[in-house]
Amino acid sequence: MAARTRLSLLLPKNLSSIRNQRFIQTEEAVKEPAYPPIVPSLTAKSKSSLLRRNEEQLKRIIASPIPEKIHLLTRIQRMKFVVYPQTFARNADRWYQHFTKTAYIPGLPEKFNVGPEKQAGEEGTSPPAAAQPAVPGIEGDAFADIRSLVTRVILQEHWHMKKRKPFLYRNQELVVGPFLRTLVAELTYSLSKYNPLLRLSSLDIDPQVNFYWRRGQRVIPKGHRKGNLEPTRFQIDDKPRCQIRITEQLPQFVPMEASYEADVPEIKLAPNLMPMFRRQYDNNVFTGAKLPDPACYGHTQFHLVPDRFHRDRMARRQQSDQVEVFLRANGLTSLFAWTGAQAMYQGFWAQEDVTRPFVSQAVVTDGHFFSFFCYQLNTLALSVDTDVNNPRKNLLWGTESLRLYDRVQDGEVVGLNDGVLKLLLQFLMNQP
Amino acid sequence: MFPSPAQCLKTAAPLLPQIGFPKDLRRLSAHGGASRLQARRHFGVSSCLTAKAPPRKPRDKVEIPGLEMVTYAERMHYIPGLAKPTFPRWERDYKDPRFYTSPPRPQMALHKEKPCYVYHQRTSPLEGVRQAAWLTKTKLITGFPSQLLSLVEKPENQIPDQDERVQNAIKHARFWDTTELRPNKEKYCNTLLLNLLHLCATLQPTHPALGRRMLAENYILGATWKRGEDLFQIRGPNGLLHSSMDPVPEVFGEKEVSETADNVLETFHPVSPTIDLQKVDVYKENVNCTGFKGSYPYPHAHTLYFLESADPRCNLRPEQFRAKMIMFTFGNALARAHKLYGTQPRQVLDRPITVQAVGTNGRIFQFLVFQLNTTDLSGDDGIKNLMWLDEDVEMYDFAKVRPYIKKKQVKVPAGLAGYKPETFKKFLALYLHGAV
Amino acid sequence: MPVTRLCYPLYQLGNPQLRIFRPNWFLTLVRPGKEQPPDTVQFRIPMEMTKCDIKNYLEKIYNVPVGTVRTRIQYGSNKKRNHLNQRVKQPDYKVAYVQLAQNQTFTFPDIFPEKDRTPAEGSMEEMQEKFMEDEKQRQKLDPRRGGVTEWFGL
Repeated sequence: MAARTRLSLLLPKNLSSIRNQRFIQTEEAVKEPAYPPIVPSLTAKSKSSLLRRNEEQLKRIIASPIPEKIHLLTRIQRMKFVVYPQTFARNADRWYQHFTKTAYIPGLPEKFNVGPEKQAGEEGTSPPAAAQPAVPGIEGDAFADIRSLVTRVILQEHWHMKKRKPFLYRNQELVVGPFLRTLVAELTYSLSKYNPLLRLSSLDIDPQVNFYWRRGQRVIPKGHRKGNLEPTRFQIDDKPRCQIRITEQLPQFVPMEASYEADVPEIKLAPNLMPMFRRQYDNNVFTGAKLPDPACYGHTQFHLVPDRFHRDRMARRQQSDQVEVFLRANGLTSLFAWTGAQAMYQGFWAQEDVTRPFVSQAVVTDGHFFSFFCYQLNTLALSVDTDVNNPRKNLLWGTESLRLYDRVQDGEVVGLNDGVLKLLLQFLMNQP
Repeated sequence: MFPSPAQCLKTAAPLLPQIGFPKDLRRLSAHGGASRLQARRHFGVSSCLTAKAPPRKPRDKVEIPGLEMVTYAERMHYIPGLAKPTFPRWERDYKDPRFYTSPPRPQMALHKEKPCYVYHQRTSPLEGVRQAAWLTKTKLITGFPSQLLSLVEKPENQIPDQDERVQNAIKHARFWDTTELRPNKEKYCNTLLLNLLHLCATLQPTHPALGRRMLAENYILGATWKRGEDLFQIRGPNGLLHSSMDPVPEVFGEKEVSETADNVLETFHPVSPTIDLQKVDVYKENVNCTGFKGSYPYPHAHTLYFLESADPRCNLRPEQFRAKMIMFTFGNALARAHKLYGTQPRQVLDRPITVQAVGTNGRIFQFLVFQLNTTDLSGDDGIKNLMWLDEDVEMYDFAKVRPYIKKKQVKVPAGLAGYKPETFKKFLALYLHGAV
Repeated sequence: MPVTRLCYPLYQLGNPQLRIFRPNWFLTLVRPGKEQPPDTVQFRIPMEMTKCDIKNYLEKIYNVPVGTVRTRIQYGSNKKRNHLNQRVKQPDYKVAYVQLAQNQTFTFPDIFPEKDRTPAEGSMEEMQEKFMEDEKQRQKLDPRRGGVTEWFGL
């Protein structure tokens, strides 16, 4: 008994703490796993192996530099729907809104509408003069100069220049095309004084804009892959008449959160009912110049309405209501393709969504009527697995077609609309 | 398909009357024995045996006024023995564009006795620059005007980051413009020129006079002049025109202009100076059109831009391309002179008209400054026109997508190699001339 | 049906505009096999009709505003064989998809709606139905047995 008590006395008092220390030490020392982690195999013919292979490919794409990334995403050619910006399909703008997850907002963002109200508010006392400057940064004299420049361009193309009579149904491409080109060039050079972005810009004539994306899926009805799920692929190949590319990005029109409430029309039917056709060829993502070009952000695009979709011809076929639809569809697809390509050039894609909104503008015209469009790309995550719980939507602002001038008569331009001209100048003056 | 031997020989009969039938040959064989008993096959396919007989010329019908042939025209049907009636040619009384045949040349409304030699954009003159100089009565000076170069050396006339931006422009045109590996020649030629013009035009904020210029394309020029005994015309679309509201200042002084009176033009006898020009009998006289009608706000032609790949069907060699530049520059200047001073030839113009031109094939540039001093071009003496011609100025040496490797050594690296900044300075000088 | 083949006058430049006043063509509105957009109507049309013909037909005779018309020819199969092993051809027919203008929509109506099968109150059929139901219920085994037959058990 005494030995036991002495033994107990001999034993250190903090025996339990020693025991605890031993446990603490074992917790702290990280034990190296003796075996590699158990993951599904890469090469087996099983569903988990397929999942693992997809994950590995995803990791490879995310880890690669941007040119490699784009190459890996567009490498494999499969049947895809070709989306034409200038299409004859009826109600094309609703279908395209669904494919690109874009909400249409009639009118232009506040940036372009603030001008006249602000000016009117400031000059409340002075009587409204005829040449009221509504464009920030351009005074009355400069505006009058630009106005006369525009008149001269119109007259040159339609009145002064001696050229052969345009072929039947080629009037747009032979007369209005050069007019648009000259107008854009001259306006850019005149406004480069007020907009330093335009001095470093790059003006492309007849560039190519391509974009490739996936949206939605379908069950393959027939064939050796019957029953499998296949994502629907889309490709836009656009050729705007001219575009201005800049070195810095334009600021956003509205914050991304404001797009959460916007509504996008949902169409459950397959795209080939639109009608839209499938083809298989090179998948391209292209803004107008390859990646190394310093001017990788877009400013404004200018599109020409071809003879086939001219409003006179549509009126003859009793399809006058489709004219506006056509213009909207054109603006929507062209701008989505351009902004999407710009975002991909910065490394964003469906799995890595954009962190800042990409903004571009477009003007669609047939020589007399001008329609203005602004686009803000908030999300690129349009494929099936990334679109779950994605509240962001892309936004398109657009106007109806506005007349620039009535006609050219005896060497004079009759009815030049100042409002439209101001809007055009505001578009070109947009800068961060 | 294969005519029988008899038929062959019959058709060949008029050509070779001496060959008879095989039976005759057998009978007529020189050596009596060893004549064949069977018919000889005829397998020869040479043209003398198988040629088609030439068409027979129909007999000329002789019309004797007193003796008309009796035809079956009144009887309304064919009668053997009566002649075939000939009816007068029926002309439609209305005009139908599908069945229009043009009248023969001498009966056309604009037919003239004297032929006219027309220069258009597909002409490729044999003697090139010498021929153009002779036709336009011009004294040629090679090189670049130094006063324009000194203009560009000043820092306020240069674009900020000029070299880097020009190199970016060239790379964009040569490499970055397309989804394929490299853009094709006509595309990159065009894009390069437009990029360079865009760069020059960004100087407009600092040089407000540049705002008084306008680009025009696809306009149709027309000018007429007499040289020696012949009438010459220059017509057609030429290239991109940069026109301005103010006239271009002169490059040559009065002294040099008067000195040209002693200069002798180079002739290239025995070659006629009208070689390779299209000779036309039907032409409109006194065609004088600058390409614009009415009171065009930019009447003075400032610079013309020519691209070698503008017309894909027509490939001009460098010498001929330079000649084309000279001729069309002269044409523009002459049309302007005719409009200002009338079509009567004048010995000395009060204010000489200067027009510039730039031609390129994507890499090599030719610069031209032309001054029209006189419209009196009929004689070989007197005051002549003057021009500066800077030939074959390279902007860069190589623009390769893949490096040129020979024997495992990189001879030419990929990308833009051998950029020469002086060429763009000359381009800019020509652009800014008159606006500084 | 006329025995002689109808041959419409071939148009040559200068001919007057072809006008058909009493067409011998009949369109059949069909329910689309695959789901179509709400403004699309599907017809089976005679082979000789063209897109312009359909547009004029619907607009002039039925006052239907037509936007666009797309047609295709459906090949009827020639594969089935009869008792004499001869191939039997099913006729080809042309299908037209007409998209309506002025934002009009059309849904193919339900031609065979489900009739309510409940018999009238107090009638013979109702009593018979009830009797049959009771009989069937009696024939069924005890549900507590869980589907096991009467063979098993005591």
